[in-house]
Amino acid sequence: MNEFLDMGGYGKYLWPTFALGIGVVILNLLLALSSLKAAKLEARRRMEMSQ
Amino acid sequence: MATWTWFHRLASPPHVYAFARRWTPWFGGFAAVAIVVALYGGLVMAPPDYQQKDAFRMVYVHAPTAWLSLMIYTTMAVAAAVGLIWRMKVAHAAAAACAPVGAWMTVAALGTGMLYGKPMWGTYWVWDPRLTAELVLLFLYFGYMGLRAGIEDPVKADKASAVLAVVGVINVPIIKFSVEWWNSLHQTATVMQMGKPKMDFDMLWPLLLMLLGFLLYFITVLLIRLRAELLRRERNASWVREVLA
Amino acid sequence: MFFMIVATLFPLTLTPEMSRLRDAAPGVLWIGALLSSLLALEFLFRDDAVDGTLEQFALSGQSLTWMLFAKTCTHWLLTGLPLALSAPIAAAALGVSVDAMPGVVASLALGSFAMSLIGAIGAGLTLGARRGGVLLSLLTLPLAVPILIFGARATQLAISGGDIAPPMYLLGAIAVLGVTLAPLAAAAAVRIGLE
Repeated sequence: MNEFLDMGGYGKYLWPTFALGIGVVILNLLLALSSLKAAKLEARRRMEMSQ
Repeated sequence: MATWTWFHRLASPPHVYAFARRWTPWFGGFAAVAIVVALYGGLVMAPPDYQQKDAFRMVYVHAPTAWLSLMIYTTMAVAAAVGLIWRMKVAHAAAAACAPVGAWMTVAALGTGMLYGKPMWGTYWVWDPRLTAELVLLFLYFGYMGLRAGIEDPVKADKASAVLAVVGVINVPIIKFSVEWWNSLHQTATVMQMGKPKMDFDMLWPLLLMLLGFLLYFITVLLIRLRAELLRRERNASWVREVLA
Repeated sequence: MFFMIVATLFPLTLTPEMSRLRDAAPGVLWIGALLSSLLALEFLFRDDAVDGTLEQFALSGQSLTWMLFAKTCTHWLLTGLPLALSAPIAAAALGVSVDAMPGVVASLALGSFAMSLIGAIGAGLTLGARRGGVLLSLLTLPLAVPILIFGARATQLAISGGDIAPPMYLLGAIAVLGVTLAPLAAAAAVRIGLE
């Protein structure tokens, strides 16, 4: 397990790299979903106001 | 005649919205599976590289983010061009949806590149053509989003940012081919070569699967953001009421 | 004018040592050129847009593209060219030797021409935008980077006595590309802004 984390000495570069990559992936998904939620909310509000 | 119907459907916001809503979970699911399997393949199963040892594994994150940063910009430019030429609202919406994801991917590409570069080249950054052009790509994304935000009228914002996207697309081939044209520190293409790829199969398949996974992931996020864009643009259209009910 | 100020400020703030200044000279000259160009670009279309001349021209049967090209050339003749011609003074202040001057002037002249062309696109796009000045810089910068790179390279080679032909050819190619495409894009941008 320790060798896995160490990655032949490159661990301190490799894991942050993966963290950054996967982090951005997850972040963008969350941002997109929150943007959709906000858009739905805004649309509902507009509908209510116009009725 | 069937193609004409398809084209009409493509231009119609309610149809596109329904399509996006239906297919998002599928694209998302497959993307997740592909990425997880590719991660395992790249981190655990692939043997260490002869020269780069275990450090080469960073390619499994760096290459997809970089490739995606280019692919998304190209998609954005194409959507923008379609929007300009055929005046399709949906196309403009798609271009707008691409921008934030593309910008983040560029940030990730630059960041992972810096972390990859330090152990390999001894430095976090070097002003070589590919890296500089990729940084320029990030500025182009920012410019695109800034221009959209800066123009009040939505139609004008669509068109102006579309012009910018199209003008800036020249940067993409520069990034892609800069490593061939100039003496560059950055590695030349190892996968997309005519004929046999230079990589071992054991190392190659996780990379290809990662690329596929990221592509599916982009489509997922694009569909979600596209839905949001369509809702924002369509104001009080009746199809919006039906969708939200 | 602005260019001269920038060029003279650098020795004051960096170091009075001539050799070090000479090394930094290409960068200083080009950043100065870029900033001056950006400043002037803001006003490229603004006056005409405000008083309606731009609209009239767009509506008239004549080619907006050619008119914008003419405007861009005027912009260059009034900003870029004088800048290039006055560069020897600034360059001398930075320790550049006299034989390098033709190369310095040539590279700055060609490069600033390309920058005017590219900048016109940004100026057209930001016509109706809030905080147009900031946006203009943000938009022009990515597109101007190749000009900066090759231009600075040419100036550097001129100063160190090398052959400036290769980067000059590339600058020339960019300028030609700019001449053919930039006015078109700028015209499209202006039309969008006027709608």
